[in-house]
Amino acid sequence: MAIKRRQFLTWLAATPALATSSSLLLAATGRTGLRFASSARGNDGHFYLKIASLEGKQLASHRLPDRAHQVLAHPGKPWVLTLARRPGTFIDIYDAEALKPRAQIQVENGYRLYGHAQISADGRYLFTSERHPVEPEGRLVVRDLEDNYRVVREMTTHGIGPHEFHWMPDGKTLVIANGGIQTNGREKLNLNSMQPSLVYLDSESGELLEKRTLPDEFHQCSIRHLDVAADGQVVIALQYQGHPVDRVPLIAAHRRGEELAELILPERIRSQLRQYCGSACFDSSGRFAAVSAPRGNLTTLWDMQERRFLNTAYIADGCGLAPTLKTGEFLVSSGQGQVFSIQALSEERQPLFTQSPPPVNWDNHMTLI
Amino acid sequence: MLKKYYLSALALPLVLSSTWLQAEPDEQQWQTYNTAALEQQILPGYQALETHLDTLHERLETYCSGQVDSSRLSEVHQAYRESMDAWQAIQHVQFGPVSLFMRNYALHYWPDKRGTGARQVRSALNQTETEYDAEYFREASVSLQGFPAMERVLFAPEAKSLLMPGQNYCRFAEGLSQHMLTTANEINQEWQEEQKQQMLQPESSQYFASHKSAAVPLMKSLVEPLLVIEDYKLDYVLGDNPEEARWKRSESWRSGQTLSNLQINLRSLQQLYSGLEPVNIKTLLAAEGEEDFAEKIDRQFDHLQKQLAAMSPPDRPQLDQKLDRQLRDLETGISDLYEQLELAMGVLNIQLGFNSRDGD
Repeated sequence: MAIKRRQFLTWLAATPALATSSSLLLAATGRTGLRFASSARGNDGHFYLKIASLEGKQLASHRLPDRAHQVLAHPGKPWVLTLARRPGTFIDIYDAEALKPRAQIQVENGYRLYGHAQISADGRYLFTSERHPVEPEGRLVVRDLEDNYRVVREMTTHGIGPHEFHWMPDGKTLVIANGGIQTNGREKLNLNSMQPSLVYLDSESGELLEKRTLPDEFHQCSIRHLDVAADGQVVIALQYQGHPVDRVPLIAAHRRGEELAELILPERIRSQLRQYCGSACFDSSGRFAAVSAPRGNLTTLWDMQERRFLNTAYIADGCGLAPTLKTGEFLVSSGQGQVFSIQALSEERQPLFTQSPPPVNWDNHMTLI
Repeated sequence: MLKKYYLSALALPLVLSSTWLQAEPDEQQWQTYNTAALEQQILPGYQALETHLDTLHERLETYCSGQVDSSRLSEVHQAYRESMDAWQAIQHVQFGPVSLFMRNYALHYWPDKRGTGARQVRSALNQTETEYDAEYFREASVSLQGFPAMERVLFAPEAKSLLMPGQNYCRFAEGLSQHMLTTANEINQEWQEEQKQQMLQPESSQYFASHKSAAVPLMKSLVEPLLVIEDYKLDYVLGDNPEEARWKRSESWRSGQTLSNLQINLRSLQQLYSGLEPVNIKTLLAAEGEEDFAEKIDRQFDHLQKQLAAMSPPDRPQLDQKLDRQLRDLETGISDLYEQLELAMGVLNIQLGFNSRDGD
């Protein structure tokens, strides 16, 4: 049986049906040569960085030491960086042009990754959200990619448990989701007193520019994933740590200088999300956003100009999100192996793999490269 | 609980390395299975729930009309128990209409670790001016909306003297039974009108991507309730040792249904596993060359039922040594069954959840 299973891994050999599917998708995205990258669990139980074309052809399957989380592309080099899932310690760098591993970095002694990273616009510095060995407040650790990945500085995130963070449009300010949860390994230690926050930092000086929290009654809504539009609006995916029946915000938005604003879901939808959103991203235009909810098997779609709910797409165990080049279009990856394209303005849902999806579990996040 | 989710990935090669995997079940087999599950369990299950809640509502109205004597309370109790039996037979289905608007929690908010039920029922029954109508229950806390609240009222030690025509206990119970009936009716209707088609004809909607995808929530309904039984229905009651055991934490101690609930839960799961015709999980496993493994799981269900049949509910708040030991043995057996079914999902190449079970 193990042999048979491994045979499935030959999904890289694109069938004519897959080619047809990809043609449709390519027509929809208006771009050939698009590839996506994501970490995944293979059916052998090991974890991989996978790179595939939108034709459904696997281009790389690179074994990782353990489960990973975010995958991001270097802005100037053909590198894909993969971050260990918390509380992991590796940062993997893979050359997506040569299709060869480039480096694997370990964090400093006692530090632990929270699974997310960003690279400065000039491509030189890598920022990672990390747990400090002693201090409860999280850190952004900065490494020089041109000097043997040397740690050049670190700064507090002004909150516990920083998770995803992104550049603001000025390329200098970082917006950080401090999840608020103190952990030991993956054990949560402070759910009764947790205080998540959204923080804006000067990436050079580390100066705290703005800090926002939800009202006290929602202090168990962990602020974990976010994305930033070109106009500076932030969309935020929340994970509630309290009781399943409590009516709490699960998706929010923010602009500098304003309070955090809940994005209102119809109760019929909200009640299905099981208090958990897994990933958030804007489309290529910055007008629309998608927020995935893998426990509810739904991805919600939003008009962010009006902060208005549009519709949902049913994606079983769907979590990873990436915008295509087409306005209102997103890719969603599923823990069941399929990748779909979905639309903000219609209920159209197209599978990337029209025959059996590959025998992998796509992990929380994906990116186009 | 989460650690167990890793089991299938880690242990799968050990179990399966001795056998040769045939092709996994095809779309037609999953379609046949889904149809059987729907027609033989889910649709009749929700219909039975509605029917029994209708009877409960009728009997409460009759009893609370004052035209029958208080000895007829036993008929109300019987209708409650039959309604609860019907709920227990379908409680494992945690997808579809029952998951909308928190209906699952509204019907059965348990365990109530925060103790809100006792406070809120007491407070609700003290509000003499309140109309316990549809709007009241729509807006009420979930701990007031379902079986636990009804059980508190109907099985209160002084129920006979409190359930008087026009008085709060009766008015509350009548309103609550109507609310529960309405909820069951909505679930039943939505399955008939929409969810059934989504499950059986995945190509007709943008919902399930295939018959196999439509089978996944059914497989979750087969496997994951065992964790609920283990963690809440048993472990929460038993604690770490006999000194920590509290029978009054059990699911239905007031109505005396704690043990029968478990029997009914396992009967329903076993039906999903081996009782459906013409295809069930046991036959699908056998078709993959896993006859012995499939039979072992079925025997484990039988074994658990035998264990339960040998138990008697305690007549005191404390468990006696014998029942304590029997329940702990049962807990171990439930845990074993869960692990076997997780492996079975691997044989059938069914992914019950990755990000949804262990995301970040």
